[in-house]
Amino acid sequence: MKLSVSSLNFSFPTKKVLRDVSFSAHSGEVFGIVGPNGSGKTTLLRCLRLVLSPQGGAITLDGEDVTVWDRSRIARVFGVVPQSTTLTFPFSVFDVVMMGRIPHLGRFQREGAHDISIVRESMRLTSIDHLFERPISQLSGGELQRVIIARALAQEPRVLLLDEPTSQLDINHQFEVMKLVRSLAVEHNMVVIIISHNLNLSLRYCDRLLLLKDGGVHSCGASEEVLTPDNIRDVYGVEAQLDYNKCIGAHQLTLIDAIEKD
Amino acid sequence: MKKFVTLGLLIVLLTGLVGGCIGGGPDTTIADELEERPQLSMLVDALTSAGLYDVFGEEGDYTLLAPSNDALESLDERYASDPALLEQILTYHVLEGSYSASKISQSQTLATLQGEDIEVNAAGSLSIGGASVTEQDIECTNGTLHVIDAVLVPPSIEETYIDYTFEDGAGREVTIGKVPERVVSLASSATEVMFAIGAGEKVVGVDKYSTYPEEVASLPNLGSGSSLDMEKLIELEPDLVVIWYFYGDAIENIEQRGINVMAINPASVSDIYDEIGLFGTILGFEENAQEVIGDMQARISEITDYVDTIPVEDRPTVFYETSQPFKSLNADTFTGELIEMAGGINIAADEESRYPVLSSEWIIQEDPDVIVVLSYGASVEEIKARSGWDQISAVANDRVYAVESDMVTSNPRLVLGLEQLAKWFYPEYFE
Amino acid sequence: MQDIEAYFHSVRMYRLTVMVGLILSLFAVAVLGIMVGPVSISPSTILHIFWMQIPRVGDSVMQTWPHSYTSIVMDVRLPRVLLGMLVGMGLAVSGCAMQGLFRNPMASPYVCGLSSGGAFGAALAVNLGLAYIFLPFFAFLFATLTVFFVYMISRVNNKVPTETLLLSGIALSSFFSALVSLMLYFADQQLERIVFWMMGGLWASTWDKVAVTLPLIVVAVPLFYVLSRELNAMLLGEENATDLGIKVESTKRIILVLTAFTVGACVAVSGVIGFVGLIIPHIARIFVGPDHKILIPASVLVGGIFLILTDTLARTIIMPAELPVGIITSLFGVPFFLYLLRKRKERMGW
Repeated sequence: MKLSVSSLNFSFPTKKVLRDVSFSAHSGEVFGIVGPNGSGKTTLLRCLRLVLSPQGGAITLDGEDVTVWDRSRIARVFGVVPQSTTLTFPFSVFDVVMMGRIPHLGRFQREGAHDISIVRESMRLTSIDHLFERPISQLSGGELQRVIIARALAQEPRVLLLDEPTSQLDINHQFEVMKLVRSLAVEHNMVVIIISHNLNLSLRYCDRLLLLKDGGVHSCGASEEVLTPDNIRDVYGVEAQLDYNKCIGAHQLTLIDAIEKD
Repeated sequence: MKKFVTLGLLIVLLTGLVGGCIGGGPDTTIADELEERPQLSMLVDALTSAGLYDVFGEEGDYTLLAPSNDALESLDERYASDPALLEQILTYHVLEGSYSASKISQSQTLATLQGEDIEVNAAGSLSIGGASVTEQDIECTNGTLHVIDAVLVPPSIEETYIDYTFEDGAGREVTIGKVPERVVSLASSATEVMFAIGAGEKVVGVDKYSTYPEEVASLPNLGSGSSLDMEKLIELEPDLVVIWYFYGDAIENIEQRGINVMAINPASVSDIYDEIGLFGTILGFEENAQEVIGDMQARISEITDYVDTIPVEDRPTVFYETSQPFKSLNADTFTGELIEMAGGINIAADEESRYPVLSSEWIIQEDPDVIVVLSYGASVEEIKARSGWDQISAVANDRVYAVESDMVTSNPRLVLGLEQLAKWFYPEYFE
Repeated sequence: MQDIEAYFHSVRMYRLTVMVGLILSLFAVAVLGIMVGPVSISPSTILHIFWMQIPRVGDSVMQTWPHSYTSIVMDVRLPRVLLGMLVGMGLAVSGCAMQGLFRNPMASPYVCGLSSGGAFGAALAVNLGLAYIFLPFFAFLFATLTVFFVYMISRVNNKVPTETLLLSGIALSSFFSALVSLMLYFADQQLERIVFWMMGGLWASTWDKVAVTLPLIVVAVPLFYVLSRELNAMLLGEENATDLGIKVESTKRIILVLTAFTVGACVAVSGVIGFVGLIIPHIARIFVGPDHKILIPASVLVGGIFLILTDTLARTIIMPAELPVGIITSLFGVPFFLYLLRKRKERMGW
């Protein structure tokens, strides 16, 4: 399966956010989007799932035009883990994960055994099955993020979009979530697109990366080919060194210093 | 130089002599005579400060009734301190033309320069306006001088000062010195009372609830006790403001500006009589007030006399509704008293709250013979259409009436309200 | 730890039990409301009166009570209990939906200016000197128009951000309140009854009012129920809801229209009864949790029970006089609510 984006453009009334973005992500790989703040990462992810309507450009899944789908169909294909989730009222973990079934249920259809088994599987995958009775207001940040991932999984998506799922987490939870994401891509054959701020985590867990600068594609390709010292300097203005780390079997960046501007 | 002075003196002396010889009578002016008598020194001072003294040194023909120092000393301070009043009082002592004591004795009244007359009593010893003459017939070149032992005060001024102190409706001590001439009424009841006793001309401003009689429409409107147009109030320069007792803030506010303010709180028919009487007293309309009260009492007793002949069990039961649905009033209210006087049995009379909201079903069970509703409350149709109320006798017999609010509150028109209620309660008798 | 499936079924059983309990309570409270009042009528008389209403069968009943009792039961108590139930239901379900829509526990059914719009309409009707039957009509009209207006001014690019909606609701509410105050200031005597009306109450219940309110509640409550999934999803944020396939904007519109009609009708027939729409959803939430699938029906029933009960108290506590029901709802409802809130906090840490 392949999600292709070509010549995507988007602007807010006062600002052009995305210019001519093209890339494609494949099932079985983790595709990362990196770039500085304001480079258009989140907007790109919103355009992909049509929360924002792109102004020109094409989004296709296996050649099928996604932009003409209705909301319900989009929700059956795209599972989303947003940056943050409002928690005004204390739903139980089970309730929240079950909400992932909404796009699959008819208006008057009740949740059945099939839905329960999918919810159970989603919770097992995210290792939150022991929490199902707990109100989400009592969960830790890492647990909550896994609940939201479980909810996205309960949608039985073919594409999983994650917007900085690790930004609010402790480092141990960051690894947990990234490992989970990786296993979903590899074992469940999903298209996984993830925005990340953490360049070293991206180098380690993403197969390919899209580096955005000012709303346009700066570079795209294998992780270690995108996050080169030259590109880092160019996009972030930071002196960095890229080395292969034998211990973890992945390239890692050492950030040296911000470059003085004249 | 010396020569001229001597010549001048001579001429003056000669002129005086010639003048005296030609008249053959007195050769002093009233002023000279006053000057001569130490017991009239205060009068001289008073005339001087009033600018009247010079007149009596010039030619003319006057009679001056001169009160002695003793008399002036006992003059009420409030007159003495007011120059305008003092001037009026002084001119009241001056007659045009020369009057000897015997001429005065022959008259009933004397016309004064002030304009009002002085009564004369010649039976026994001569008394002019209540004062005795202690030295009479001092003939002068420009009139006659009589010394009297009391200050004569014009009746109009005497009436103006009533110096009446009473406790007002808010329990405050209020003193009315001079009879008020410019009254602002912020209480419809007071407005109506003042017009009823004929003192309407003194009302210079009203509140927005004062709508009766028609004349008040043309008077300046000052809002109400809770939203008072203070600027306009001050501009009207009232010498009395009448207000409902419950506007404590406004009372204080007006008081602080040095304006006399009295509160009213008429809570019963007898309070209304008192209110009318009070306004009669302080505004100088006592007779009219007594007449209004008498008329009211006569009309009211016409009703109560009949009602007294009706046994309580034969009197109609009444549900009275105020401006709000199902809200009635008990016996402790003004309207409650009127209902009773008109011979109705108020079904809410014994309720604890003065204005209880009654249960619909309880009213149905009480089955009132008559329903009276305030005209700006629910409409008669609305009441008749209430769920289950077709059971009520008043509705079944078409005895639901709307009454004007002004007719059943504390003002003189309550008589009309009472007569109206009596007609509704006893249509066969009062028609 | 129990299995998910067992949990799922136990939740269903719990909800079923709660619903059955609430329905029985509603019935019990309604019976109580019909039984008590300043006029004491025996239960057997009441039964006979009902029996008599049945065509044919009722003809055989011997009437041994004053005729006014029939009126009191059939024309005063019964419509009042029914109207109380309907208004309680309508306010509670709308409050529930508004709190969900705005993701704000402080939202009440009047949040979009329904109460002051309705008050304005009522005041206008009285001010224009229209007959009393126009008052509820005007109240309803202006209540619904206000919501429509609030929606229109909040709309930007076909989207209505809830924050804007909330703020324009508050703004327009103040505006209409000011207009009502202005009218009261200038025409006080005639509008005294508006002040009374704004306090809210059920003293003027009639079958006509029941007949107007019933269909609206009967239609609106199931529609609200159908939208419970949407409301649940929207509680996690609008973007979350969109990602779950919810058409957020049209859901908002439908909920606003439903609320406008339901609450507009409640305001028209009973004035502005406070507290019920704000607190009942919270009381229901304490018992059944935040899931709208159970919260909506539970709120509906608790709302009906609560208003019948408080209104019964309001009209019997100082018999034969009445208290405004709003005083009772707050006086008895608030301590009860605070008690529940505390217990819940102890138990759930929420």
